[in-house]
Amino acid sequence: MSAAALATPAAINYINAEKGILSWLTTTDHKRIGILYLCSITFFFLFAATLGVLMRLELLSPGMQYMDSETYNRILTLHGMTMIFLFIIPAIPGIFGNFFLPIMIGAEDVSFPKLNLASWYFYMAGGTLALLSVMTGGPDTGWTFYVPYSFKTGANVFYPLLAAFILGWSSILTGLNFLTTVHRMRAKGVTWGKMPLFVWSLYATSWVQVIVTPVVGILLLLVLAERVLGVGIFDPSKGGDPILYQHLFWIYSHPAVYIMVLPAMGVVSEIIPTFARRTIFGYKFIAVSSIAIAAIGSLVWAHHMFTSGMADEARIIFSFLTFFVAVPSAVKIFNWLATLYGGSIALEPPMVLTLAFILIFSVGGLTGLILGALSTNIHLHDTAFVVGHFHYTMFGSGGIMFLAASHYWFPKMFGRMYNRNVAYVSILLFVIGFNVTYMPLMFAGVAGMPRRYADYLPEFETYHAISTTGSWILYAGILLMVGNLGYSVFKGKKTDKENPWGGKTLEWRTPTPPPTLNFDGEPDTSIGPYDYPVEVER
Amino acid sequence: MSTTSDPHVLEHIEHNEHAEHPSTQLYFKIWGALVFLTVLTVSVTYLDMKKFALVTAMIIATTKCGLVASYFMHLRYQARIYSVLLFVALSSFGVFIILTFADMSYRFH
Amino acid sequence: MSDHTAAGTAEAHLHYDPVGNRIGMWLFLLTELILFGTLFIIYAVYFHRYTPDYERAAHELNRLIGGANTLVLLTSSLTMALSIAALQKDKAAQAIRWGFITLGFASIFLVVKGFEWAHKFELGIYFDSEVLLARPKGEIVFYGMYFLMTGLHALHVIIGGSLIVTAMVKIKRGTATSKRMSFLENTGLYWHLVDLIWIYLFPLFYLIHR
Repeated sequence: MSAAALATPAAINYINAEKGILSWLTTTDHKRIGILYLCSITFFFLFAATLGVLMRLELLSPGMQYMDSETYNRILTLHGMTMIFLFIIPAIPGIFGNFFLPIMIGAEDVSFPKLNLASWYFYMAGGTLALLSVMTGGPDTGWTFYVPYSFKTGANVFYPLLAAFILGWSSILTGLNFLTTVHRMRAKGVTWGKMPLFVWSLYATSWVQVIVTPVVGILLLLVLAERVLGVGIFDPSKGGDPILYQHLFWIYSHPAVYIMVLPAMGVVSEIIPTFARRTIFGYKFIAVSSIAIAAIGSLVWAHHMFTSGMADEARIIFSFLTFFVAVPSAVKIFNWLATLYGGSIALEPPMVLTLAFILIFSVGGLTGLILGALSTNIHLHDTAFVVGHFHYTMFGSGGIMFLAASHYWFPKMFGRMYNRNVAYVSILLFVIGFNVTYMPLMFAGVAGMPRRYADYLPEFETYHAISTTGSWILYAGILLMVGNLGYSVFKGKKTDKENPWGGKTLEWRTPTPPPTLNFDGEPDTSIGPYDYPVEVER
Repeated sequence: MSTTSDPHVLEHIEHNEHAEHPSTQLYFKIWGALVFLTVLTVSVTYLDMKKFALVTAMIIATTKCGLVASYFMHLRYQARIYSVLLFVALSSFGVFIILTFADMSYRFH
Repeated sequence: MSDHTAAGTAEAHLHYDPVGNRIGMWLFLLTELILFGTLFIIYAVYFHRYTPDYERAAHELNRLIGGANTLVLLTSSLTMALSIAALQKDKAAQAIRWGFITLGFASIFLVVKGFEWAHKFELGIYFDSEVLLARPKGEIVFYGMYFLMTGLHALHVIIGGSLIVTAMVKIKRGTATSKRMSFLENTGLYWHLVDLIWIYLFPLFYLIHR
């Protein structure tokens, strides 16, 4: 390797340490695996976003214009499945967790590097199966695979079920790896009380992944068994109980919402102190609230089933428990706002996206309380209101913070800078498009528009026309944003600034881009993650 | 948890724990107890236990699991972290089953 | 790749961490527990709903054969523990011997289980069979759970067996020693977990009748 020998040691980083596509596909370097996830997840994100735009197009006006309702059902299922299993769940942990968790705790890598690579291959296998299912017509069950329809339908649900099962294992193995890494690999000086909050949130997320994902894993296998072998445990004609399926499905899938939200909240807790130049307010409360959200979030699943025929007593219990999740979420929001207060705020692109998150996620969280209350839920269940609500919470947290994290860590990851002006324009389009797309759905839902429908009565046309127009603005914003970042990976202005934003966490105290073993020598852990020197005078 | 999972503390425990592994003799004793409990749990089914049959079987099974986990799986001899991990899993399972039955026990009498 | 800073050697730089390996393994065991736990929840729900049917169906399983098989599996757990204890004292040959005895017990367990299943098949009891569908709903569900849970458990026995074989090869080659115990220890943990699950499966399917 003469090229490597000629270069100065400082110039060798994780990107140029080895060359060739094979060196990427066989890498065990957590940073390179993060980049692998970045490429594949971005692909699936754009794929699913396109499906979403197609759905909105069909809903532009009443009647069926561009597709039949069968096709619509399949697009709807694929959009949901891809966005959930292939985008939001793995996005922040897979990309930024892999890349930055070891660096932030001063480690050289994760505990099990080979297993880490295996997780990515599981992810790709699941993604490939999901794409294969498109070619065979695609599933028409919705992403929830509710029985008995899911084992009776003639559509191909075999591939998607298998895909979701494999993706589940990818998620479990990543969680297992992160947990072990946090317990074992922290550098001297990085105590539990000095761990960055992003690491705390990933730690809580990993626990949820490890504890609840096996439930859905075995459950999807049972649906497969039901389809292939006719076992009967979910078939009412053979003594099975379909509502039990729903319980088990939501035991995973409600906490899965927190798998999507918690890492996003972790990124917020990093970006806000950096751009407010202030110590995070209430470090302990934010750290503990992550764990609290993970724990309480596992107790509330049946609020997805209030109209399913569940016992009244259970509905009251679950409605009651649901309200508790709002408490730790609110604790976080108040702490972030308190951090901003009196800070010296720099409105860089990642910060603008983060402020958009606080606004949008608050709308999502508060509409969640409306849905969590049993009485209002009965009216709003399975209406477009729910669609609006979960896009505000899930896209509004995991999605937005994925984009914010991309803008925040971009210079560190690639040693280049994106065009900031283009970034601002794309963010503006994104935020306007987001609200124009999803806000009308909530009004339509209150007026009685059901969700998942391919067609609707003329009285809902105004809502849908506005929403579809919004989807074009949103899509344009996303394309511009991803285009700007993608272009800058190769052509952006080069930078080797160690700390372009003035952050205090460990990744800002290592060369840009980081060397293969993350640090030149021992990481300097004498400064805490939020030790901003001067408290701003008020 | 914060003290037991500190890497340096664990390292320390790691060096100590080898000295405390159960002896071969103890392994055989535990095996003897397990065999006894298995014979016991089968034997009691020949009695007419009515409602207590299931409870008895579960108590015996849990005792057996406790023996396997603490001695064969060395939980007794290792840092508390592993027991904590196990506790988290079992309590989650407990919560899942209790809350599922919050529905089931009212729906099917 | 002679350059030691290159990515390919990053892993070699990581030191061997037995505690980390054990934590990782325990976390994996937790996922297995929850996986079977889900099946236990389904079992419990239908037991609650169809108690008389369950008890009638359970009566058709032979508790003596089941009990004997339980003893086989418990003994294999003992021999597994002895294999680990032997390697800790650097007695590789002894460790391998105990390992093979464990494999022997595992095979006996699977053969017995196979005969039990074959017997049910002969009676016409299997998924979706006419004989089974003619029975009360609770019995259909009972046998559904019986085949699924013991089947999945048998799959775990097979996986555990393959892990033991791999561990024995590693001991033979000298890559698993008293200084590098993790692989054998984790295999042992997995094997004991297979035992733990059976300890519950046995009474729930064989002993609940009145």
